[in-house]
Amino acid sequence: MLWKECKSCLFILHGFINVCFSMWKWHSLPFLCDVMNPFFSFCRSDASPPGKPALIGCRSPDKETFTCWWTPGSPGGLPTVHRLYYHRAESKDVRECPDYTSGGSNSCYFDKSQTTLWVEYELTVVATNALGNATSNTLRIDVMNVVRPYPPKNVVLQVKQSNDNPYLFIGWQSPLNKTKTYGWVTIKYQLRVRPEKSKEWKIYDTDLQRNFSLHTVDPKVTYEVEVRCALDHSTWSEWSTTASIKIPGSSQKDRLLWVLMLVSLIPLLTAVCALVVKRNSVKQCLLPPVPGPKIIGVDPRLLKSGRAEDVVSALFGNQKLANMKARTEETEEFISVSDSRDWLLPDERLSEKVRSLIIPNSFVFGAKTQSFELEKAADGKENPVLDRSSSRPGDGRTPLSPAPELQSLRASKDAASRSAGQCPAHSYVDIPTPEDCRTPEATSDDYSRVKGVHGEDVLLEEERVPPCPDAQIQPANVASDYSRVAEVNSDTTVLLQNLPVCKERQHHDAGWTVGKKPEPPGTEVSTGSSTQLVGSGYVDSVPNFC
Amino acid sequence: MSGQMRPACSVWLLLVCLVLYSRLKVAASAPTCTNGQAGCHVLSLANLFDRVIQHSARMHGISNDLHSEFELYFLPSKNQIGRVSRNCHTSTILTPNGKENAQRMAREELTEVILKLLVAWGDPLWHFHQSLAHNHEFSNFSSNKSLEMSDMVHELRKGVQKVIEKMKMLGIIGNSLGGLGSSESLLAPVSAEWRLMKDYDLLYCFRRDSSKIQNYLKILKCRIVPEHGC
Repeated sequence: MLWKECKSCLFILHGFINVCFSMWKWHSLPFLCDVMNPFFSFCRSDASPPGKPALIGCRSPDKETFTCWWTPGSPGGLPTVHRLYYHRAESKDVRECPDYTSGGSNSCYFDKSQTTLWVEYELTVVATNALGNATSNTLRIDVMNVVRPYPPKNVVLQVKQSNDNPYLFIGWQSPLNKTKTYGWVTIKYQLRVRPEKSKEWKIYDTDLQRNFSLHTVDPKVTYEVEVRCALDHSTWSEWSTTASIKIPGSSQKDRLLWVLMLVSLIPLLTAVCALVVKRNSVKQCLLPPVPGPKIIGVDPRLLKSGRAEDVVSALFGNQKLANMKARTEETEEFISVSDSRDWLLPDERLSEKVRSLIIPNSFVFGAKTQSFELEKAADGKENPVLDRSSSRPGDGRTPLSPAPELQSLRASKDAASRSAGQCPAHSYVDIPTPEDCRTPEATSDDYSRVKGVHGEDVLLEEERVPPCPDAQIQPANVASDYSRVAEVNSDTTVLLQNLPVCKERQHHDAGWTVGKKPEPPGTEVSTGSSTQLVGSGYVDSVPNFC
Repeated sequence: MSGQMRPACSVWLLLVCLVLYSRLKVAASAPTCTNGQAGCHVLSLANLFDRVIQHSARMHGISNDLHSEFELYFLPSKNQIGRVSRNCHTSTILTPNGKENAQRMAREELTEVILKLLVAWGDPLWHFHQSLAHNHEFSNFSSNKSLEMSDMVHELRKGVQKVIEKMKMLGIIGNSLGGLGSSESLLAPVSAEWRLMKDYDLLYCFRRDSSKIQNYLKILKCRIVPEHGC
């Protein structure tokens, strides 16, 4: 019994304390809080009523629903609840927000049944916490005035070809999920494009179309595209996420270019191959061999060998001079070494045409270059030259035409190739050579004997001459293959002594202008009257391969 | 030769002039097509609707622009609680306030609503333009726009009436809607109130109503002339 009374007492006391607290809490809160701090949450010293929230605005993405957002004020340190109340302009019926979650935090979503167009809504947000509440500003909106769609979705970029020109195809989807709008909503679109590096956008209107083809694109450039939309006269939506694509380099043009390049390369390659194959000939053609210095009567190979007999033979050896042929049209210059100053040619003009070349047979190199040239002396300085040349040894290694033949000499640096025939060298005057001595390349048919030089013409001897024997040693310093010059008639005429008449192979080339009259052998060669004049044609018929 | 040329030239010129004149005459006087008249280019109902809808869209655009301009000039507080409701003179006309409501409405009713709205705004806009023109505060630009707006309302009304006639002809709607003669009956209930409205309020109201007209026309078109997406 006592316990029951105590319980009821406690109850009454508990209730009284609660009442007192609720009645006096605002006034006596600090004191109570100091005493009872751990027990009552509102006793925290930093607690305060909530700050005033603010309505930001509303947005209707489809003219059928809309959402409103607010920002809460300072929370006041206590859990705060926000409530949105609204009423339509004409009615006094205040309602609370039907949906606080669909639009996100601090939002209120009005669905189709709650949305009325062309009617003004008045919205208010109230923030409440344990210590009080705060009311926001009132927002008046007409839903038709806050229509603003979301940006278009799924912007797709594709590069397509049209007549070998690339163009950019842009496609996107409406932000609204429904395809059937019943005419309620018409969306118009706008897109903007720019090359990646550029700062300027180019804007295109597409009205109701959900795709667009851009033809003004450059290959190998990356483009960025953004799209936005509007419902009738609403505000434009935000720009969609940027889509970018790189236009590939024009494939057709590249292919054509490569084909053209290959086609043009083929003749080039064949030319290169031909050049490589015939490089020697090309080399001869482009870079004619520069005659090295030649010492008359000295064979440098013999000198190189180092043997005494060789040296002797080199210096004093067979004085067989090469037969040379006059070539009046040859313009090559030859370097001749001689210790006679008289031999120097004063006349340049003549020297260009024909110059006297006394080159021993041994200094003729190159099996192919068996053509010798006769350089006519501009002046009658051949006499000592001849003498000199007559003392020059020829070792007969150069396979030239037999003695009485004239060959044109071409100096070549190619010392290696010698023809096999060990025929004595011959000068430009007829020299007896062995019968079996025939040069493989330069046949006697190609040459004829020069009788003398008259003016710019070379006088040739008759055709039929018995072959000349070899090694008729002339007295003293005269080589067997030289003739002694009896007299120098004029600047261009040389009178020779009685020559041993030899048969020479002759080559009667159609191109020759040499006229040959048969003459009895042993005829003394005198001045041009009994001899034949060689025309301006050259006597060398060895083909010049270059 | 020149003597012969001159009369020939003048004859030639005359011929050319005659041809051109006849052409112009043909172009200027568009023949009114009655039913089944041969050689007339008869517009289909869909085309008529498209034209009318385009027209209404343009009209709404202009009203939007003018309203924004006025907002700049007057800078009224948007959220004034004092102005509880704008008393538009067309408030008495019952209009569907949403997509579902508009779709549920009968075709004849919807068409009538559109026509009523258009009729109601004919006079007020004309007077509005007059007041702008005489008031030198407003720029010529605004004045021209108000004139354009006023003209458009009249044109649109004629266009909608043509559409109604076409629909009646095709049997889509009944004959309950009056023709041109019933405009007075539509006008009567809303006669005096608009004179009391201030310019800015008038623009606000018209902006709303032009939006209604545009939307109703689109819904009507989709119901009567179904298309892809309707």
